[in-house]
Parts: sequence; structure tokens; C-alpha cells
Amino acid sequence: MSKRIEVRDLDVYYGKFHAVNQVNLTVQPRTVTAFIGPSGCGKSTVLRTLNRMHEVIPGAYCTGQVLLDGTDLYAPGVDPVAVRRIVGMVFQRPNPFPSMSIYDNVASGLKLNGERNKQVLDEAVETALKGANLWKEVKDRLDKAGMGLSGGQQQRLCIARAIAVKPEVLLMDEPCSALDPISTLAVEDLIHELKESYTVVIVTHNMQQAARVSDETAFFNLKAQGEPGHLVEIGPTEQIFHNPTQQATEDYITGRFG
Amino acid sequence: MTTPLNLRRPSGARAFKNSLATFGVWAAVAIATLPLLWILASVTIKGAPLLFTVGADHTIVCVDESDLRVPTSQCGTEEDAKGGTTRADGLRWAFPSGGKHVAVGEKVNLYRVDTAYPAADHIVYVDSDGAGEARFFSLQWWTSSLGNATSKDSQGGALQAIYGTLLLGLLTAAIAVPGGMLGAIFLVEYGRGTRAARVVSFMVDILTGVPSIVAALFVYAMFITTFGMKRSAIATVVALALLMLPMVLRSTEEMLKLVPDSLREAAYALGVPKWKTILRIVVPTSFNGILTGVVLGIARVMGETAPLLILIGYAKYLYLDPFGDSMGALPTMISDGISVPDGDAGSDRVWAAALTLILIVMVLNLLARRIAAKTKL
Repeated sequence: MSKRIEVRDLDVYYGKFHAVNQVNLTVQPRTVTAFIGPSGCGKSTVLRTLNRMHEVIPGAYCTGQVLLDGTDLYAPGVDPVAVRRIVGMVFQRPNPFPSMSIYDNVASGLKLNGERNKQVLDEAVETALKGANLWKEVKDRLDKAGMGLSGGQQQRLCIARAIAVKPEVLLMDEPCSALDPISTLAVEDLIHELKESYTVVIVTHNMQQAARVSDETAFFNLKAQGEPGHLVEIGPTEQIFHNPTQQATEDYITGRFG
Repeated sequence: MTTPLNLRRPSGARAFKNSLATFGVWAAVAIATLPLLWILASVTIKGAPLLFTVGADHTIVCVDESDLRVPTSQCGTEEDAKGGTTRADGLRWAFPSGGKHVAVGEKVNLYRVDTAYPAADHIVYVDSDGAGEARFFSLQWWTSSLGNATSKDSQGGALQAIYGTLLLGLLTAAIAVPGGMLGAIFLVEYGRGTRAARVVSFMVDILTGVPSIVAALFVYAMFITTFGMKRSAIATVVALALLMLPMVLRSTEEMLKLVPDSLREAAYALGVPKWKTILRIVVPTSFNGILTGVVLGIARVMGETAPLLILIGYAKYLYLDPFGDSMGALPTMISDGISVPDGDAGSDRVWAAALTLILIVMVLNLLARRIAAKTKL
């Protein structure tokens, strides 16, 4: 249940604006890869191209290849909806569906894709909530509104919702930036466990977090505002943080800018 | 050197201006609410009794040879009336039509000259002038149509009008709600920023500004003058739908716009197709607001009069057929009954009809709230 991602010669555009220039990287299965870099450097954009979520924004398109175990996600005839079933995503702000209960939130992905068997749904909900470390907290109030949970619980609910559809890859776009330290810790612990069965890519502004949770780190930068962002380097987290090959990476890591 | 902070309340001209502003706000509230309360109160006071009572079927009075009313006691007692006998020659019992306001010495407009006691539910033996005010509990207002009751009769219900109003409202909603919702979904979810959306939006703006009588005339010109159709409830529904559609569309559009994009993205990220996201996530999330808009639209349409006057005849009897050329409705019942001389037995029907309309809208509102509360977790 995890796949290798290869990005080749990726360029992303928002209309006429060239957002990301020539990204090449490989994400190994069952690892956590962190994308770091200053604001506007395109790390979230690259993340979104991994499950074609950038296409939600009008005018956005990309060139190049994103290979998931050798299959190009941008080949003609590929349905973005099908891609997103395999590559799940967790967003910056917790966004449980307000009209649904906790149970329905977690089951929503399966239900909306046509699963009606109550037993299957029950099992999937329990597995996903346990996988998201939320089962103990909510098992007695599954029929209550998802919006009634705390921010950290909501975010874990969203993670449970994302893993309930059993994706191959899990993308996380700054999943802890709206959370307090305790909730952040809970989510980070969860990421460590998710690594066992998923390929995880996480965008974060918090370098300590990248150091804590990731195996590989990719540093993105941009030359100036208005210029396209690019990948500076990618490597084992240990190396990026202690012995980067690029000067820009070292400057960023040591806090000289950004 | 420090200047002391001025923390005192404003006084003098400043304080006067503040209080003036406060007074202005309260005055505006009063101007807005008092007439409303006054209308509601007068409608309720005059109309409410008719909803659950009826007046007497007949009053019985005593008249002389030239049909002038004389004091009832000259003819005798109620027992005499039932027996058909009178205590003086030349006097007889009579049932005046609309007789509650016949004064002694006034010529009686005879409803029935024979003195046989009529078989009817409620007869008031009029012992003094201006009697016949007695009312009896009855749900006649809700269960029978106005029929041939004239303004002089205190009998007669409004079933035909209630049925007509509900039917027109329902059929209109059946057209305008799906149409308005689909339009709003197009504008918000599919057409954002496109030329087609701008055109639709512009059309809706124009449609919003169309007076109801113009919409009615449009339908009249198209269906009746051009295609030679009859006036009917269906034609009325088309005109009403033209009025309701932009309301539903605009309110739904506003509600859909309020749904954060993050929810749509969350659904997309689960591999849910766009149409299903709209149907199962976006619309349910904004369901309460959409429902409120729909109920407001129905309320507005139910009270609309001009299209009814132009596109359908007013009927006092219950006609169920929506393709027929006449049907009762509460607004036309009001406009039909408003010319009745004040003081006639049936003069309060307009108030009762108005109150019925208000009640129907209120019940709809409560129903919508109940549904909204149920869908909320």
C-alpha cells in the first residue's frame, strides 16, 4: 500500500504566471519526505501536482511528468478523480464536513464512492480512526458533529477521513500550522505510524518539524518574488540539516534568511 | 510634563448628538415595527373569529303586511316562532336575508316568506335590534368553500381559496426551486468568471426587477394571445415561477458562495467527482440557508395578486383542476371581498383570508425550521 513517486521536469503555471520551474525528485515508498522552503517557493504547489489538486484552481496547469510506480499521472486519458483516490491529501486547516457526524466524515470518502455495506463502513471507520489515533477519544460519540471536536482532533479526523479510502500516498499540506503544540505532537506521532504503511509527503514551515518527522527533505527556494520557485536540493534529512551541499540550503537552515 | 488623560463621558453638544443618534435608531425601529404590529393585530382581531366559528344560518324576525320590521315580542316568543303562529293578526315571522342589521321599522328584504321553521344548524331568534351576532364553533372556514354565500351571509368557508393558494404555491415551487438551484449551482460551481455566467447573472438581475403584473402580462401575451390557450392555474404558475426563480436563484447562490472552498477540496482529495461533491457536500452544507430562501420565495408568491387577476378567474367554488379557467386563491378572495359594505355579515372575510394567508406562511416557516433543525447535527 505504498508507491514510489518520481517527478520529472515539472513546471507549474497559474495562467501566465510561472510558479515552479523544472523540479526533479524521487520519493521512496514508506518514507516521510518533507518539503521546506520560504513562502511562495512553490512547495505547496508541487505537492498539489502530486494528486492533480492544483487543477482545482482555474487556469492552473503543469508540464512534465509525475510517475506513480511508473504510471504517469498526466498521461492523456487519466482521470484526476481516480488519481485522487490513490493519492490522498490532508490540508492546512482542519476541514471536516460540517453537515456530517464524526462517523459520516470518516466514511464519507467510501460512501460518496458508492460503498453502502454497513459492515464494511463500520470496519473502515474503526480502522481509520484507530490509524489516526482518534478512536479512543471519539468512539462513544461517533454520531456527534465533526465540527464539535477540538482543532487537533478535527485534523486527526481529517487524516482518518483521508486514510479511510486506503490511498497509496498521503500528502499533507502544512497539517500542523493551525494546531497547538500538544495537537502537533499527536499529529507528528501519527505521521511516524503512517509511515509504516503509506508514502507520506509533508509540506511544513517548521524546520524542527521537518527534522523530527521526515526521512528525506527537499528544500525549495525562489530567486526573488515573482520569479518561479525551484528545487534546490533533496536528500536524507540528516544530511540536509547538517551537511547541505548548497549554500542557500545552509543559509535557510541556519536561519540566515527565510 | 504630562497632560492628564481625559476619560470622562462626553457632555454638552457631544452628548446631545449621541443621544439624538440613539433616539433616531429607536424611532426607526418603532416606525418599522409599529405599523406591522398594528396590521397583524387588526387582521387577527377581525379575522380570527371567522376561522373557527360561523354565524347563524338564519335570523328570524317579526314583520307586518308591508314587510316592515316590528318588535319581535309582538309576534310572540321563540315557541311561537317554531310553531309558526303569531299573537297578532297581520304580523308574521320572516327570515330576512342578511338580516342581522335590519332595524325595527325598516323594510325587510325577505329571504323566505313562509313561516315554516327552516331545517338548519343555527337559527337565532332575534329578540332585539341588531341581534344575530351569535357565533357557533365550526371549522367551516377550512372545510367548505365560499359557494353562493353573499356578503350578507355569515356562512361560507375559504376552502377553495386555501386549496388554490397551496396548489399555486406548490406548483410554482416545483418549477422555481429546481430551476433556481440549478442556476445557482451553475453560477457558483461551474460558470464562475465565464461569459455564460455573466449573461445568466444579468438576466436574473433583470428578472428580479420585473413587476409581477408585467410577468403576468408576458405570460398572457405568450400563452393566451399567441398560442390561444385558456386562462388557467398553469399559466398563473408560469408567471409566478418567473417571479420566484430569481429569488431562489439569488439566495441559493449566496448560500453556495458561503461554503468554503476547503470543503470542496477535501471532497476532491477523497476522489469524489465534482457533481457528487456539489450534491452531497456543498448543497447539504448550505441546506438551511437554501431552505430559508425557498420558503421566503413561496411566501412571496402565495401573496402575489396581479398574476391571479390577469391569468385566472376567481372562483367561489372548489375547482381542483389546474387546467381549468378559474380557481379561488386567498389574495383574489381578499380583492373580491374588499368591496363588501362594512358591517355586512361577510365583511370580515377579507381579514380572515388575510390571516389565513399569514398563518399558511407561518406554518411553512415553522416546517422549514423543523426540517432545518433535523438536518443539523
